[in-house]
Amino acid sequence: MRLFMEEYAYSNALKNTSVRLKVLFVLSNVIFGVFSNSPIVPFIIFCTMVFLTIVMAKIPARDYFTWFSIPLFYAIPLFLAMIFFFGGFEPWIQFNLLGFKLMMYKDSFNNALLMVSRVLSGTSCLLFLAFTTPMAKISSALKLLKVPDIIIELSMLIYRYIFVVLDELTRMELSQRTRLGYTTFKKSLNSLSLLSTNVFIRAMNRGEKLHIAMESRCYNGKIELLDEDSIHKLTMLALITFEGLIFMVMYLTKDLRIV
Amino acid sequence: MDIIKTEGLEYAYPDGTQALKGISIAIEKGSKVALVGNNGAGKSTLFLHFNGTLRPTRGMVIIEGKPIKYDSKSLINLRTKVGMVFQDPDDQIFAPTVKQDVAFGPLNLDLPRDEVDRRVKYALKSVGMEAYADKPPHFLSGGQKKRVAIAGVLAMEPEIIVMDEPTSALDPQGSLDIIEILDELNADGKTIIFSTHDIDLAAMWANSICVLNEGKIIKHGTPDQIFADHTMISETGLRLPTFVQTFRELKVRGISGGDSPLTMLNFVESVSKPFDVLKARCTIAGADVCAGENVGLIMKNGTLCTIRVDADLNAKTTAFGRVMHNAKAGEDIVVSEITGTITPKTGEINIVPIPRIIEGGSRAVDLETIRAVIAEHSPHKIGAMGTSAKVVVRKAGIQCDFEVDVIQSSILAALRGLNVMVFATGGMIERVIQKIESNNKHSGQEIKFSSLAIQASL
Repeated sequence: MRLFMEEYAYSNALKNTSVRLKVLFVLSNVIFGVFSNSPIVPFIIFCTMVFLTIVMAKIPARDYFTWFSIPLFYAIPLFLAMIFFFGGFEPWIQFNLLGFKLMMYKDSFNNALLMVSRVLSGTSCLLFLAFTTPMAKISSALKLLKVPDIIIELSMLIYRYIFVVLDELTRMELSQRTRLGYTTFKKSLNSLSLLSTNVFIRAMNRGEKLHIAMESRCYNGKIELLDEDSIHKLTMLALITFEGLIFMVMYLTKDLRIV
Repeated sequence: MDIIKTEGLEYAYPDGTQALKGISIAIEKGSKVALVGNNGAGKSTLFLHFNGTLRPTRGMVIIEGKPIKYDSKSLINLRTKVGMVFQDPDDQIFAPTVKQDVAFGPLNLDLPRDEVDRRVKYALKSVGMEAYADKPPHFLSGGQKKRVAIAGVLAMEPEIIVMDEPTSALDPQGSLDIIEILDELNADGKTIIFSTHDIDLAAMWANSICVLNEGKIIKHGTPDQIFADHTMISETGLRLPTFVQTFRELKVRGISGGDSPLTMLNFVESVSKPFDVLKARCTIAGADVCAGENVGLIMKNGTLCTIRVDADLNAKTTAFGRVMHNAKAGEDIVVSEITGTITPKTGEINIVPIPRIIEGGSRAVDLETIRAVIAEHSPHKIGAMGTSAKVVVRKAGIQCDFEVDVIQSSILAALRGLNVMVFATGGMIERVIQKIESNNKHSGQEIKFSSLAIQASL
């Protein structure tokens, strides 16, 4: 069982960049993107992230935008709905569509634009992290950023066993299908309920076996992780400069309206 | 000395199933022990007693002369001594990357970081997985996962490795690779205990076999002893190794002779014994030959002999024979019904020692020297035993003929008159020598061997 996003995470050109810097970079950009009053800042963040992911990390643009189309799928309808149907105070453009009078308001247009730019910047930030950072490194970054151990250990185990259980699930589902388990709606329901019970029981069994295996390697209730993360000084400098500039732009554009 | 011993071990699962019914077994240090028996015979349950995971309801487990204690400190101590590799690697490998998984055990022992790093590196190298250190486990194939599982246990540096079905669910190459790895670990002094359903593997590879049935030990002995007892084999629902079955069929037809064979080498010996004077393997020098033609044999140093087709009575001709099958010039051929005197010439085996991973491995060897040694001796076949020897051969860009089951393949090739060069690591060298010596004593055909020391570049 493989996810193509995962494969890029292990093979992209930025995989060796310090993961702590990546996480910090993404977190601060998400925060700046959300708190900015004008769409300019989120838009700059969006462009930077796309540049970093496609040009610097060398992720194929096609795969990247396939993932990007998912948030756009709801952001664009929401954008249209906001400018036409949410109402506002400053009328801007009015036109007739098949006898319906449609009114566009300046303030709602600004709001809609801000909303879409925030969606774009947030999504691009998370995709950057997802495409360039393997899960293993994210957990060690979380550890260095002092997230409680129990959360890291759980997320690590869950991540690993998603693939194992998913694999088992596909096999069981296939075996049900080959014995015509999903031919009618009623049979499908029955098969699905059997499948989910079984997967649950299997997962429990796996857990027990894993515990025995871990105890055989002297498990004492705490999973220690090997983590290594070296911060490159230039990268850090670039990060600080970028965030400083973003903060300046955010301050300068705080009262800016597009229309 | 017995490294593991159990005395009257009994165990009942909480649901009342009596899984073990008084098991007494003694396992010698440095041996390879196979546990065979049907599903549900109690093999896995017995294994879980060896590292203290299960506590016997009666009887005890004795490690190095001391009975196991079940307090947490003694258990940690025990588990660094007895490493357990489970059947399904997915039950064992849990970390997001290979390296983190292998480091799990050493980190639990609170070792310093550089020691952890050293052990992880050593363990991954020993199983040939160092290139996959940063990969997540679900990117690996079944055989690779198994190797990582072994590495995870090796990193604890145990003296005993217990493996539940090491070759189950692996492709043929994958199983051979695992056996090679285990063989190398065993040559380095580790005791290996494994369960298997592969009778041929147990017969060929184990020093002793222990037959388990319904929670009891039926018989424990050398492979020869076990497979000589045909009634026991059929009563416990096992089967004889393929070689033994084939041998019995050939024997009643008067083709095979000698003792019951457990390996390919013994088998070939048992088949070729009645013929060894009448048949010889030669290389054709001149034109093509057809089956049934009479030929003259000319002795030649180095190879066995050359054939002259339509032999006239040349002064050089020392013997005559009949060609067994069609062949083209330059090919090897079997000639039978030989009259005159010839002594079959065997090839030589040259052993080249390669440093172990701990001794610097492939980095401690100058590849140019390796190429020079090969150029000097120009062997017919080249073999590599042990992880670092394989790495050296691959690095030097040498095409290797034998990478698995090297000793046996080399002896078989030498018996056919070919010269073999074997690159071997550490304890494997002694194994090769032992095996050749015992074969020389056994078969009456002398294979010459020598150890070529090459200078380390460090």
